[in-house]
Amino acid sequence: MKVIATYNLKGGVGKTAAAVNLAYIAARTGLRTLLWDLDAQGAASFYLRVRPGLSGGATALLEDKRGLARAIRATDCPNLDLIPADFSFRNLDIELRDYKKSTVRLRRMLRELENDYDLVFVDSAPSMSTVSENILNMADLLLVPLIPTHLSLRAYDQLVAFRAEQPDSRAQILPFFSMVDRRKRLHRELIIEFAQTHPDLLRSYIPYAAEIERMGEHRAPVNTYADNSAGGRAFLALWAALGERLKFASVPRPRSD
Amino acid sequence: MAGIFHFVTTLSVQEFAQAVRLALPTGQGVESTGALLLLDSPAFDLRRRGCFLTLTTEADETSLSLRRLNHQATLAVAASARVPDAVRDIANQTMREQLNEWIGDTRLIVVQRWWAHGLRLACRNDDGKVECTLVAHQYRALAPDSPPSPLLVELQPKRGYEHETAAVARALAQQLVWSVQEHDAFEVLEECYLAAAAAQCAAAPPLQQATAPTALASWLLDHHTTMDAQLTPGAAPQAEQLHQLRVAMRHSRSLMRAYRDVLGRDTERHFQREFRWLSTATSRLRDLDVLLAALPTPIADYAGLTMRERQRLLSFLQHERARDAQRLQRVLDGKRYRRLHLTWPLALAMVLNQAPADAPSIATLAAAAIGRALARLRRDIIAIETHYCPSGVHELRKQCKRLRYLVAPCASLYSAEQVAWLQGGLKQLQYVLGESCDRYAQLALLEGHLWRRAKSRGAAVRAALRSARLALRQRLAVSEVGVVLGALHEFEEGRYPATLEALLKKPDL
Repeated sequence: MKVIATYNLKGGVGKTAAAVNLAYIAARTGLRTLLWDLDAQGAASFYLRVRPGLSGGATALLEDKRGLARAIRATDCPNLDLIPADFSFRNLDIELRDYKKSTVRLRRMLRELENDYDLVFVDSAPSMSTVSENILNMADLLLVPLIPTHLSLRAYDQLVAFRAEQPDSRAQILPFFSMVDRRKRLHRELIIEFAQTHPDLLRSYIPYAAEIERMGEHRAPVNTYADNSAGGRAFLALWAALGERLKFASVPRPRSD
Repeated sequence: MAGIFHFVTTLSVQEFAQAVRLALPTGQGVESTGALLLLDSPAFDLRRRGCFLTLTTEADETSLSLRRLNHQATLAVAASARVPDAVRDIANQTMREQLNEWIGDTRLIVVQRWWAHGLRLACRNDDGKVECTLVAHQYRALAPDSPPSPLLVELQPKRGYEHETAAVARALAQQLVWSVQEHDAFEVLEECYLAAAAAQCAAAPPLQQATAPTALASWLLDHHTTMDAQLTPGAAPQAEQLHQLRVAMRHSRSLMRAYRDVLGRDTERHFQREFRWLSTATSRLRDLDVLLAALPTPIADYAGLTMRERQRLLSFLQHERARDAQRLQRVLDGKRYRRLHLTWPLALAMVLNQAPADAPSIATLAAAAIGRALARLRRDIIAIETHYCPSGVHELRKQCKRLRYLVAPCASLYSAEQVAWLQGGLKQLQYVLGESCDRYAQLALLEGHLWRRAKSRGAAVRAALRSARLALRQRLAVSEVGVVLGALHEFEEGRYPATLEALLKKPDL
């Protein structure tokens, strides 16, 4: 079981869209996939039409040994399950502090699902906290969406430094550009500049596309309703690039819409 | 999967769908047809253990399910593209291990076959999220005139939506006009199957009263069963098995061709193509078998061969047969054959179950089909008598077989005595033509495929092959034309065609 977290200190960069769409594409290739919505806003749950809320909230989830398995909901996409968000996740930091080895608590919890899933995506809230430390410690791969702006790139440097401070983390950081507008000169220049200094940058980017914004309207991954659109193809290409790193061979072909 | 709710109702699929749509927020749903095979060990060990293993084919998807008989739990479900021949063939580890523990690595046989008409409805909540799926199935045993089973309804919760599904089940029970009751679906199927079998045994309708779709599908299903019985899992067919397989296949192809409108033109074209492919795939092995059978007899075609040449040739042919048998085994294990094996009985089941009530009788269609085949046979006989050629003999032989295969299942329509006499005449002619055709096929094999294969086998084998070719050519030159023309003359003199024509005009109705 591989764990991929979409994470950034900065908000509104496309973490949730990336997590939902990549999880859907992974499931479409036949991988048993779980998406854990750790963001109290519950946007990933909303996109997949699963009502946020867990019985007993964050406390029960952390205390109950089978809490994680009990929280799982099937989505309407075959092979894709979801652990929905709960509003109490805003206090998850406080809850975690009560546990010994609080920074690896979530990693331990995920172990119980080891045989049930091939891939787990974690959609996280933008913060730098105990939850963030947990995410860094449980992920094999940290997928970092970046908007080509100076502030976003600065946040990336902060994230790299934060990661270096985590002794238990084995996460490999993989940045990719999101919400790219090729018409903007600044976007083009920043992408080229960043690519020259960061060989780990995934060579696929997500464009600023109307179809992706329509996810809220359709309440479904973009590839379910616009597989052949620029946005849909961009996520397929991103999955292909990610698949190369993770050695997942299968990349679905886009369906004609 | 825990928490699946099961109901049984006497409503039809359409009535059920209408009732559910009024009571629950479901869409139009997806209707489907499929097949359900029940698998067990030859000693029915699974049945005794209170479990059953089913292979469901629906909308191009095939899955294996291992369930408890009381329907309380599905123990394992796995996608499977083929009918497993033995426990070891099951790809799903959980299922394989469970079965191994219960019944060991034993052979699996198809105990029962059903045709299924299904409806799948998604029950959504206010967010449009699917909380559970309502699946209704109606089964018919794959036998003529089998009664349909009651409608079996399953309510399958999505993971995490068990409570919501329980509420849907309660709503179904309270709001719908039909009575729902928990029932063992397997027992319903079994009762249905037994009823069908009993009805068939007690009052199988005479062929005179049968409609064309019913009769044709029954004949073809019988041939399918024969074909199925020739194949042993994991082993290439022996000479006799292969022969019987090919005979059943030729019977099926002749019937399909003669009654193509009953089967549906597209269906007929598809399965003709598939069976032609299978026939081609098995033909070389059959030719080798014929050659191997002819070779050891000293007085036959290869009388000119020395004992040593004969032995060398035999050993070479046996080696080639083993190699070709392996090739055929790969074909039979392949995706295309597995697909054919699954879809052919399903197509026949659809013909059987969807036959219109006013379909033409088989007696009418059979007379026309046999008449056409007889006309073609006579035309081919005249062609051979005018211009003798080996390919013409081959065509004539095929025509002879087609006619015989069309007459055989319709024997009860006519005078049994006369049909037997007629079939004897046709068989005699077919035998003579067959000997000639077999010699040409053997010559082609000796000069083509075997000669190429012998290139790496040393001079002695090649010399033996040359001698065999020479002996066969001499035999063909000496006796071929006279024997065939003599047989044709005998056939016509015996007034077989005229008798058949008279029979067709006056069926024993």
